[in-house]
Amino acid sequence: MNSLYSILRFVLLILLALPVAAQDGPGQLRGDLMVNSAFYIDDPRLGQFGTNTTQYKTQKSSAETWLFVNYNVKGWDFNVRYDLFHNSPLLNPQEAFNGQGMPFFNLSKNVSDLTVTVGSFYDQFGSGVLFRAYEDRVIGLDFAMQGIKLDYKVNNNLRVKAFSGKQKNRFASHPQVIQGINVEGGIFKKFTLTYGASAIKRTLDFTTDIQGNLAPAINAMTRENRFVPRANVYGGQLYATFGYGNFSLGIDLAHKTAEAVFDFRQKLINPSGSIAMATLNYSIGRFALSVQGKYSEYFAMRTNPYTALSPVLVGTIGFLTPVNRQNTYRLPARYSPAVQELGEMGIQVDATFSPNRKNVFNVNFSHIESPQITEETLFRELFATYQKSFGKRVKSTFGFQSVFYNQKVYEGKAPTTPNVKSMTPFVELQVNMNNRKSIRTELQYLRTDQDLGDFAFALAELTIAAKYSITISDMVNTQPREATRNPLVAPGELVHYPTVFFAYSHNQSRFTAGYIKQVEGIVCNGGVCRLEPAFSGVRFGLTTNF
Amino acid sequence: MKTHSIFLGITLGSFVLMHSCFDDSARELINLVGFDPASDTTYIDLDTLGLASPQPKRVYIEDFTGVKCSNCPDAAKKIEAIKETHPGRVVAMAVHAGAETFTNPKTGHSTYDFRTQDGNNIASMLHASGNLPEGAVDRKFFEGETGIITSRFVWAGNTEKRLLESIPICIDIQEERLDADTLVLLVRVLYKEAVATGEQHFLAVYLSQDSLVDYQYDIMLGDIEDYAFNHVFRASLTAYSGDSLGVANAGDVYVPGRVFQKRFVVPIKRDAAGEAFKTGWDYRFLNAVALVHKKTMDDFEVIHVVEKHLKR
Repeated sequence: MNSLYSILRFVLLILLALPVAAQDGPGQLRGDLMVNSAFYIDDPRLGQFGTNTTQYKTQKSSAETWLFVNYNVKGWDFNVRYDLFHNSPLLNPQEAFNGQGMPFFNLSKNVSDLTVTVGSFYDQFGSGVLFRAYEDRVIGLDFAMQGIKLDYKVNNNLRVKAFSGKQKNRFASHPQVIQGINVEGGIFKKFTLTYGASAIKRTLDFTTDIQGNLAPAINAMTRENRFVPRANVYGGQLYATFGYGNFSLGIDLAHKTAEAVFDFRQKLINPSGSIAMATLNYSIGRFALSVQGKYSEYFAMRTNPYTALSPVLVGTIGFLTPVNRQNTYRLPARYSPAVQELGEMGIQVDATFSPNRKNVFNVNFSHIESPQITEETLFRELFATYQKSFGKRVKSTFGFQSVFYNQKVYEGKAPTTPNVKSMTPFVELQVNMNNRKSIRTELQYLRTDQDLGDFAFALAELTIAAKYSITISDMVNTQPREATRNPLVAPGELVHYPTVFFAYSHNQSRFTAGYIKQVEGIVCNGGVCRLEPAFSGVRFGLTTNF
Repeated sequence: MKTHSIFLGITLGSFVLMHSCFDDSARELINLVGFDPASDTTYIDLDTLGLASPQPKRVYIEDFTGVKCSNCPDAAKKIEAIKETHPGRVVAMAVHAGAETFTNPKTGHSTYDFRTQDGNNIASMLHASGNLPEGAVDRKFFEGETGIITSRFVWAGNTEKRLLESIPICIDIQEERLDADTLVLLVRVLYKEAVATGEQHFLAVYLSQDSLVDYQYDIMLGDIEDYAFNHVFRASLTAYSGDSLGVANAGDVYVPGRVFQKRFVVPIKRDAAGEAFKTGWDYRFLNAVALVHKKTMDDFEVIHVVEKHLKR
């Protein structure tokens, strides 16, 4: 039925578009396509528990597709996206989800300085702590809104946005209503000042959320802990960035009214929430410094409190900025912290010094705690790199990372699970053999006495004329720990996680194919993380735009 | 600058305006002053203590299961075998919670939907993975395991270990009324021995149901349309994570003779019109299960459990 509605929506959009196109000549049609496909090869020796999701036992293959089409004519914008998930673990790694249709569609029109959008839309207010509607396919997120949005440009330095909508939920939408308004402006003189203010309101579904879930749960609590849950939560935000010469200071403050949320022990409580963030940047000559601080407590804007208990990332309205470095190297990214909605107190310092063009030093330090969750430190990282260029053809990076990672909190492991302490030296070397060929290699070694133990990682990537690229890598659990040893792996036996990856680019299209073995681990994107099961199999991909 | 100020004022004003419009629509649904049995009805009664017969330690096995989980019937068989080995000493609870692939009712086959919010909450509390079958014996973190949740192959051995424990309490469940509309239960916990200072206990009371016949998938037999489900988790009468057994301003709470008494009035759940699947509540096949357990950051250990088969 959903598919039928989707097709009807698409036909309706085209019918609306045709008369406009006929009057004003043909418009512009463009779009993009992304196709992913995976074949699963069961490997019970992988990681601690082997490959244990349903795709390995039953479905054996999966596919995902997104086709986005935009038609623009005389200020009218028609957007539709066809999504397809077949046996897909993307939205929930423990599930084989099937669904196809057009859950994203909108019609947008510019009238003078006002843009009106009806249907689905993505947007955010400021840094997004209060409201951010966005998509992140890597970890299966799609927080699009469905409703109406108005965007008015008052003058070149001031704009106002307002919306009312419901958050998309797979091929339907959550029942809760979200409304908001945002003003953003700037003053650009000898100094620059950009600033903004936002307000958000979210209304729970009375029948489902309050009568069905919250009221029975609260009545079951002891009398001193009971409270009256409110259907509406309100949030306000103020943010500004001041810049003068080589100096800039950004501040972001937000507060939300009390609402029912689950604490770390999954007990319902009724706190108000707040968040404060500040970022200071300063550079002089060849030296640059950035300091970031953050304090938050119970500041999570959600469609309803029960989505926080879901094993799947669902129902998030706001985006809480991470306070740690976002690593890209394989082993240094292995222990990445997810932003804690219940509260965080963190600091990050990043310093870069480049005495000349051929030498660059960088040091980054971050420290995160959460008084709302535990007295233990949650995360601490020291990350340092030295980049050295040898002539025009050879570039190298030498680095070291030291991490403290609270696995109990970040991965929900058993309360006796020890905190991970790791040290990871790494080196990257890129050689441009000529204008057409280059080769890049990485060597990394992660040393830890916790979790699965030590890992070594090596990678070689050959790129030819920016068209072809072949990557071969291997990750080896060199010092497996007895406590987390897979029972099918003999004590002391080395387990390899090899990957062979091929990419071919032609015009606007890119084809990829890879044989991949991957250990279970946290995958993060901008501080939003989820636990990905081990992977063993073959993946194909295609992206193109037209 | 004036324009900037006007629009900023409008935005901040809307926040202030919204802030002043708090809704109070749920107030009538919340019982703020009502019966709070755990604190209101606790006393020390040495007569009861003298008369009460000692109870042997009983073990609580939580089986996280689903109608589309192929190995779950095998887990259920293992529990039945454990119960037969230790008659009257084991209380089982089949909680239909886990990955939706396993727990969603099968359209065209299933009559009932056994999933509950409380069941999901219990699974989350114990850090269940969602890969079924899985379960817990007395919610105890056994040496050599990686968590409270374990595979079905170790339940028998872990039960043997737990049966050797001695317990400081007795639990009594009395059925005061049970008909098609309402169930009234009285649950009492009596401390026969003192408990170490600093330890805190919680009482959880759940309802389960036997003799539900519906669809189940089995790895060996395929689709079974008339599978008999027993001890299916239906609801939590306390908070799913237990209600605190505490006494304000008391020194040592858990002393010999201490009684906690709690009464529950439970409307029997009816099928709602228009629902795709029935709830299947039948007052004739309900069981009340009361368990006293610990609850700290890393400990949910069940000290003792009692099950009462209600109207038969």
